[in-house]
Amino acid sequence: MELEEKLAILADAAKYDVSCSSSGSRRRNTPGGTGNASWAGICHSWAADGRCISLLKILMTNACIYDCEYCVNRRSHDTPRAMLSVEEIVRVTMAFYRRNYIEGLFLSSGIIRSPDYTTELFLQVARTLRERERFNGYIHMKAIPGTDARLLEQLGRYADRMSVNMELPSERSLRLLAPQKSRQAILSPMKFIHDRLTEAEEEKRARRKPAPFVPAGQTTQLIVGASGESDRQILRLTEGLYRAVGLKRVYYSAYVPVIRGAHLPVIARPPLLRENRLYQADWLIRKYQFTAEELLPETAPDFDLELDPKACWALRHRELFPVEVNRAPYEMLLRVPGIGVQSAIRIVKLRRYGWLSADSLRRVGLVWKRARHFLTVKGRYYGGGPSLRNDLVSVKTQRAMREMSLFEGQV
Amino acid sequence: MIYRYDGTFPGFLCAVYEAYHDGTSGVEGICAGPGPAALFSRETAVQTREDRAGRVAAAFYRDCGRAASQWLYRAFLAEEPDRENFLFTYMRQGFRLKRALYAHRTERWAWTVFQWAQKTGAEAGKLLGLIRFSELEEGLLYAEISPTHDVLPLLTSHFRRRLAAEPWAIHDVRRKRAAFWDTKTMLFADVPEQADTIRWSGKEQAMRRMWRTYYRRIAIADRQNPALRRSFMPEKYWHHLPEMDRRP
Repeated sequence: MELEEKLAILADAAKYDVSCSSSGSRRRNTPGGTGNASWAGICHSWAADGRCISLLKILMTNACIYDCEYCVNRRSHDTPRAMLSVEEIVRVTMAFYRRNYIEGLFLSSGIIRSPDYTTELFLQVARTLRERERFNGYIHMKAIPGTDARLLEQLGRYADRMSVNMELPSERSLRLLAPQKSRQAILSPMKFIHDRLTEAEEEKRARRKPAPFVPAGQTTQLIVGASGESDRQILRLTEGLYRAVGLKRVYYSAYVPVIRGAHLPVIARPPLLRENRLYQADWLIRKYQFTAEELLPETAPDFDLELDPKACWALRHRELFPVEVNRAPYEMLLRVPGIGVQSAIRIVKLRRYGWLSADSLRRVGLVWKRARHFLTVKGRYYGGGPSLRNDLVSVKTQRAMREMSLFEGQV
Repeated sequence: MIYRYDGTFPGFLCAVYEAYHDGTSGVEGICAGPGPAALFSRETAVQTREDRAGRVAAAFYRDCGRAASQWLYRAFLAEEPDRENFLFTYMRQGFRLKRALYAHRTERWAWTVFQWAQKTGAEAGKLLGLIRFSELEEGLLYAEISPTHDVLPLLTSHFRRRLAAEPWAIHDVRRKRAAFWDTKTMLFADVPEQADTIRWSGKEQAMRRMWRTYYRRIAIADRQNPALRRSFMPEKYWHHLPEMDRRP
């Protein structure tokens, strides 16, 4: 099989893994070597679905010994299979990287023979890139559940980031849709990576230089809409993962009905808006000091698809608003719809020099149309009125809702 | 007095230097290049001298700090019409207000400068990802860009760090300027003629085709969203992207 054909099959098979970021690592260029890592990460292209392409995201092979019902690469699925050799992966990565097509490599795979065997092949790729090619770009490697800790340790020395995909948000759906995987098998590599990272932190605190180990941390992915969990269940799981194993990111992948299965739901379109709301809530937890409980209390276990989670929260807590923009603490400014991290920081910096007026506030970079309903400026309130709800629904959502009503049903 | 300078950033700083030397109250305008003779004003041709430009830049940095200096430079590179007079106001206010310049960022004169700086910065950031090198016959990595703002000087340090060990060139075909890295020094030069003798290396076409294939296959058909793609990757950049080539 031609290399190009293999690449086509294996890109096809990798595309449902949504993680794409190349951030969190400061790997330097070594003398005579190629590349470095950018702390903020760099997007290199955007595919026809609007998702960014940062890394060469590819499977080593799409042949797999497992038969997970939701997965396009499951053993019983009739699909063309291919496998890339270590040399081929290295060659394509280097050629793409030099041309600035990509930030690095994101390698995943179906399970060949055993998790250990597959991981050993990953290790060969990583070692060849780092040692022979002196490649200092970004490497994201899948940690396969069931792999020996010693192999994960070795792989972590070369990788910038590792991820273990949880895929199904509850033990029950895991048993139903992926009977060959157990929750314990998924959690244990996560736990191992977390422990190693904590050790490295302690080393650093003791002013020793720790051995390199996944400097950009670990991530995971959850499929949304393939099983029956509520948004609240998913978000609480996310929060738990951030706290317990210090994940850098949780990614959400709207279930795309490409294959059939007895336990899979029949839906017309992937639940994109729901996925979007989960990402918004995820950011509110990581960057805005919200908790899952606040965003989705027991009484409202699913997102309002029309309003973003922050606006929903603010409307449920009208008693806290409006706040005076010139006095409110930073933490409260963050909770105002229409104010983001950047604009909250600017407001705090600017008001050291004097009181902000409504006119100057509009040039701070906040979304005045939304924020005005929750603020007073020098004691004066500019919001209220019948347009409140309408101002909070984004134009994009309004369009999406209209489109959806044409299709009816699955959201 | 109208100050005419050569259109470069150091040239502009020299105009500011002379304006301060002559007294800022007499400044009627700072203009790039020759223009129609003014009937009622006096004109002077500003000489670009690195030492003077350096002194003005250092003074502004000392008084107003790093962020404010960065805005100044990036706003200049945005190449907006009448940039000189906006930036001259900005600098005069900066020398007067010093660090408190930040407190005035929501006033229109500062806000405009900030918006320009942001546009330049955003385009430079985008191009760090969207630049596409091609391998030439002699091994050089060569990229063409045609950015809206003059971002070439903001791109080179990134690639110097990243591809330090091999020679590369980035060519702004719109402004007819190029940056060239020979693995030791960085060189900027005017390139008046479009080179039509460029010969790709033997592997180049195959690699581009491979990338195109990958690009097409990585998209999820059920999630097609051309508007979203355009908002991240505006069509004005497609011309230089091998993946957007319509060929099969």
